[in-house]
Amino acid sequence: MSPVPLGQDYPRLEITVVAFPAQFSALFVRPAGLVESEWPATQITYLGEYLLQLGCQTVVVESHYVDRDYISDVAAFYSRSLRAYQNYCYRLHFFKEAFDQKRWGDLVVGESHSRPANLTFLQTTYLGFCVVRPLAGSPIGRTVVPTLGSQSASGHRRQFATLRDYVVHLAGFELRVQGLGFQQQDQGVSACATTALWSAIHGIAHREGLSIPTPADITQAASRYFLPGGRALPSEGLTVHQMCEAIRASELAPLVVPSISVSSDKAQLLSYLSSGFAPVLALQPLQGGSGHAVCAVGIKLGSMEPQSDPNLHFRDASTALLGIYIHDDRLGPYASADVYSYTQTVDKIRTALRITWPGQDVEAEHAVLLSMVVPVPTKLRLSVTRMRELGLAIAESAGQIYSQFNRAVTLTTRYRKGTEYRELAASFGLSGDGLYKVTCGLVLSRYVGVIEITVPDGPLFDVLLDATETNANPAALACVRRHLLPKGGESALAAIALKLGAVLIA
Amino acid sequence: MSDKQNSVACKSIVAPSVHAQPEPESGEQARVWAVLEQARQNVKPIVNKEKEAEVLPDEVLNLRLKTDK
Repeated sequence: MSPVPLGQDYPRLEITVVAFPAQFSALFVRPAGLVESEWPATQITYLGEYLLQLGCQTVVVESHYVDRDYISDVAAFYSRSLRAYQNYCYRLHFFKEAFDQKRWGDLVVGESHSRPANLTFLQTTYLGFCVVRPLAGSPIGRTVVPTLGSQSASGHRRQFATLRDYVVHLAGFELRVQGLGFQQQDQGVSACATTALWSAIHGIAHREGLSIPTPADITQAASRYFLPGGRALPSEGLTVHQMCEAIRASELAPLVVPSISVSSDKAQLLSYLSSGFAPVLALQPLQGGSGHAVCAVGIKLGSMEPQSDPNLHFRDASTALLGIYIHDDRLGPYASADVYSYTQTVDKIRTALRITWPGQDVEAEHAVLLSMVVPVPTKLRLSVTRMRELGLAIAESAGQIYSQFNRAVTLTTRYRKGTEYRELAASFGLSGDGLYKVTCGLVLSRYVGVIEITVPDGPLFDVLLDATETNANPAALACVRRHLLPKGGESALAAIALKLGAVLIA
Repeated sequence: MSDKQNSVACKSIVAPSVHAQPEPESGEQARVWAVLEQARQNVKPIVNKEKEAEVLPDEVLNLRLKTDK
């Protein structure tokens, strides 16, 4: 009889460098027993396509990586399975320069004086990472890759205000990548709503200095008081109600906005996304089936439309929103989704998304937008709807008062941190007194609502709102002159400020 | 002080905010405020439509979001 082995060996780490393969799926061993699922999984193919667009040339593979999210999934769920799931993952790092194992070795063990140059080389070519979980059907774990640049092939502008920096440690080097975390649902601990919410919280919780929940934390918090699906694990998906519960458990506040019209939805999306708040979108795929959730992370902008109502004298910046970029866990990060009007029935026009593959015009899906759930800091109480209520009236007034701009006066609403606004004020061309007043004489809430009134060449003025209030009307803190306000137009701005009960800063 | 005078005096100190709404001090102020009021009326249809987003139907809150793969 063989003796009974006791104890466990420590794992070993191997770092392997491979050229980015023509088929990204070639990096993965096809798991046995996947009868009902396609191979390679769509998420693997999508990520390969996305990395190709980024110009990836080299993949560095870490054979042992303890991922905070996955190990939490193991603790909550997989540790009690019959199969002995390992508690660690592989991690793939992507680089846009070609190098091989030998060069890698030289970079790591080179002379100490060459280390700064080696770090610079790795940092400048770094394209992020992907944690690969030991789950046959859902291998793509926490993944952070950069966005595709500020201009699309069709000439549209891309903007991503929701991104953050991630610090990555690899072989003694500290690398950074800017992006927003993405991961695939595993159906054990998380469903699409869980991972969409996880992505949304990843940005804002980090910025607010809050701890970031794992998918297992989110599912458990969502199911604490309300379990319409019968059990929390394996995850049967989340309702909007449950998502709100999970957001509150993360010390954030959920703002739920039902979809009401394309123009209004575009305004909401533009305002929240340009302020750095990533909304979770509840979708109904047009081909039917259950509801789906994705996380909106960026915006695609084209030209602004002229005002279509002859009685109005301003334009709405949200008419420039052509689409959004989403983390869709059935595809991958930053999937392009055009926003359009969909005639559902003769009397019902809905907002719809046309989701496509990266860099191609290949459609993945059409879906109707049902609602948005935006995790925001708890003291941000002023909603975009309330901010726009005042903003629309101010923009219409400005369009009439400054008629020389020929109805090109434009309304934008967003949130900014008060500290950030003060910092920006130095570039507004204010008088010394005005700048001193903004920076030293004005008490601002942590987040301020900003009604920006602009013309095509630049800004006219801002109205700053106290975002801790619930209504915009009695919450105006200041009207701030910007550099394109016409000479002689200041007295009208002073009158607006007086009416709003705000301070004039010029 | 009569009861009537007393009630007037009380009204003037019960105000919803620290500052009372001022009266226009110049022709320009009056004109701008009139424009602002007219603008508020002009955009009311848009505002009323957008405020529908503040009503949360139960089906929105209770829809289960669960799409495989």
